[in-house]
Amino acid sequence: MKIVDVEELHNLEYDGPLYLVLDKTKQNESDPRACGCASLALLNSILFLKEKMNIQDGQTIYGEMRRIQKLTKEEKNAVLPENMLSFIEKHSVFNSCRLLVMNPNGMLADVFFKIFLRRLTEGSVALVMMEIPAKKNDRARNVLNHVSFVHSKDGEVYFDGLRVTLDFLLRAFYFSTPTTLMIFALNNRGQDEK
Amino acid sequence: MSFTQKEIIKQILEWQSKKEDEVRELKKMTNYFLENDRTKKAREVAFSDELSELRNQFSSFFSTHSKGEQ
Repeated sequence: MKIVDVEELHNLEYDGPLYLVLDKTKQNESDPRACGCASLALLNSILFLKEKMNIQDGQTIYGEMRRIQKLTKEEKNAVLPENMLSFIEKHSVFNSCRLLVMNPNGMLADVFFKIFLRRLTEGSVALVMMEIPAKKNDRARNVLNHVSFVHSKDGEVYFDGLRVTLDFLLRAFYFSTPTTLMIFALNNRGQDEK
Repeated sequence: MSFTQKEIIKQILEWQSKKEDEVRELKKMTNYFLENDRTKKAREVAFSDELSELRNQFSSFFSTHSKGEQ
């Protein structure tokens, strides 16, 4: 595994500020998405939330990435959940949001969808701790090995910057039972789920 | 900003290439995950009448639902 440098990040869908996790140098390997996934998910979340909340703190993208890598102790691109959560606790952008934690497998599907889809349409973002199979058709081991960034824009849903369908998200969310969504909701609406 | 014809053609070709990459990547990623009973049940719920209002707020997210399952 290697550190994904800011200079290597490319944005295939927008002018900014979102980035794909996909690392071109690992496309022929079994799991090209597991490169610096936590760092990129955090970076994308921060940039997206800043845009949504109109936060202009003068911090550059490069600076944000370096801060993430330092505070998550990402020497080997192996960010542990506790390091990631510790970073979220300390970062002012995340502190400006309300946090909702959900596991689709532990909820009634209609309740999950109502909350998840409504949050997406309201501009919330989700960090999803999940399992991605190492090889095609591998069965779930119930071991979380990936963090992805999910958001919605203009009626489309994106997973790590990749425009996805319901079928993809269902398979991903329900593949492994420990899948956990951390939804960061903007505070400006000031109301809870109806 | 002005573009020459050549630049515009190049932009379109790049855009097309990116779109194809995106679709290819999505198909590949979808095939990685095995479908299970929970997935199937959740899909039925997602297309229930109760969620129709929310579904209408998304453009293509729900559009790949196969016609045979409707």
